[in-house]
Amino acid sequence: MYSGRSKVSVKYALLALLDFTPSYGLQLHSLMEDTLGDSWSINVGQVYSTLSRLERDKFVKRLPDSELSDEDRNMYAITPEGKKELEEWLREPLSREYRLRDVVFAKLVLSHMSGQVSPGEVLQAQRRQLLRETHELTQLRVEADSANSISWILLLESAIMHLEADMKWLDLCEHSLEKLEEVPPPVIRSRPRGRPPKGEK
Amino acid sequence: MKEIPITNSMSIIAQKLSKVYSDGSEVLALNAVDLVIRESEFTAIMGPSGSGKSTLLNLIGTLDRPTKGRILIDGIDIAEFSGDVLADFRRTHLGFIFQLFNLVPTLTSLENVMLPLIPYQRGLGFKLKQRAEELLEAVGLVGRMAHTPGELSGGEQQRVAVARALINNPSVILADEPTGNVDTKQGDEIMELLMKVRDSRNQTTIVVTHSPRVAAFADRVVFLKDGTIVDESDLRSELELENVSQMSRDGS
Repeated sequence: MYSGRSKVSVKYALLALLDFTPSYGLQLHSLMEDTLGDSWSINVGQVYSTLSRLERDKFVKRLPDSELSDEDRNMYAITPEGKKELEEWLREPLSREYRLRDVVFAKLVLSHMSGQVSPGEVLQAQRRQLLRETHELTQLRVEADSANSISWILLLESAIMHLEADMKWLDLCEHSLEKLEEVPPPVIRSRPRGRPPKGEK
Repeated sequence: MKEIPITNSMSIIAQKLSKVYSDGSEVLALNAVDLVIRESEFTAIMGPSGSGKSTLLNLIGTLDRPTKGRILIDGIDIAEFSGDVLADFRRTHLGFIFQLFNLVPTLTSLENVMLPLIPYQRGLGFKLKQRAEELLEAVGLVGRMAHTPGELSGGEQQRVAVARALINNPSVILADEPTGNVDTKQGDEIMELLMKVRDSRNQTTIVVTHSPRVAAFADRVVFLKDGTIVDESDLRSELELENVSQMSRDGS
């Protein structure tokens, strides 16, 4: 059920992690679990296929010292184009049709890691967007004729209350921002897989 | 002494506004805030507790003086006014609405609405009682004029307070958490009322709130945190903005 979201965001998660530090594919896989939790766990194959698409789009590049053809041994780094792409994603607020809290959560954590945009800016951009949507729905509700369109009003009310809940959650995140910023960056624990290069035992 | 021009709506400009409260140690409640509120604009000031939003409202409402910086209302620096002129200015130009309604419990709705102007009845140029009745009618309390606050619901009490705030036909309405003590439905009704009052009378309206639901009624939201403005959002759609600028062009 999370596949849609993963497709959208694995790309950006990898960009943010590469912005944090150049890494091997396997390291990225474990970094992703460490930073975003189990609900984001994807298989290693997805990491490599996403990396190759990112490379094709020139958002990441292989570092020159990784000349071996074995893909496990390639170290990747983000390019300036990749940084720009990441920054745009972090800044862009989401509308209600997305699994908002999951993706905004990922943006908060990833913005903290990448440093392209601060978590506070992510929150504020999102809040601005939600307030604007709430404003539009509030206007519609005020204009609605309560005698004739009660079902319409209840529908608007449902949307407004969801937006309110999302904004309350943003408040909670904001209160926790300082703590989030104190969290030390994760330790890169995984080593490249495969046989060690010649001369190393 | 300065004369204060009478207008229907007023612009408010805060320049590098700071307020320090010293209570043993010094607390910086507002830190060099710059803010421009245009005539007739409906602005919400949001922020967590202690962010300085009520302080900002009190300074704009001339209930308190800034430690540094200045406030221009319709281009006039209110620091130039002496205490008496300031009190006069408040009475003739500003309308206040508070979270706890601040109604006198022993007086009826009608008397509460009349109260701010009772000492000045003679020079008013309109019949105070009649104006108060009209306002109570406008806020939907025709049948509640002889009731005391204790006989009214929270929402009704706040509507009396809105009528009272309008008794002097103010150019600026300042409301501090006006829905803080009523339930969601009554809160919506209060905000709808303030919105309609602004639409018909055009006065500048500033509402302090921590609630995004309440802030969504405004045209614009100013976010405060730790005494500084962290963000501003224009909530009106581009179409609405066009209409507003069209209206102001037509009006000028």
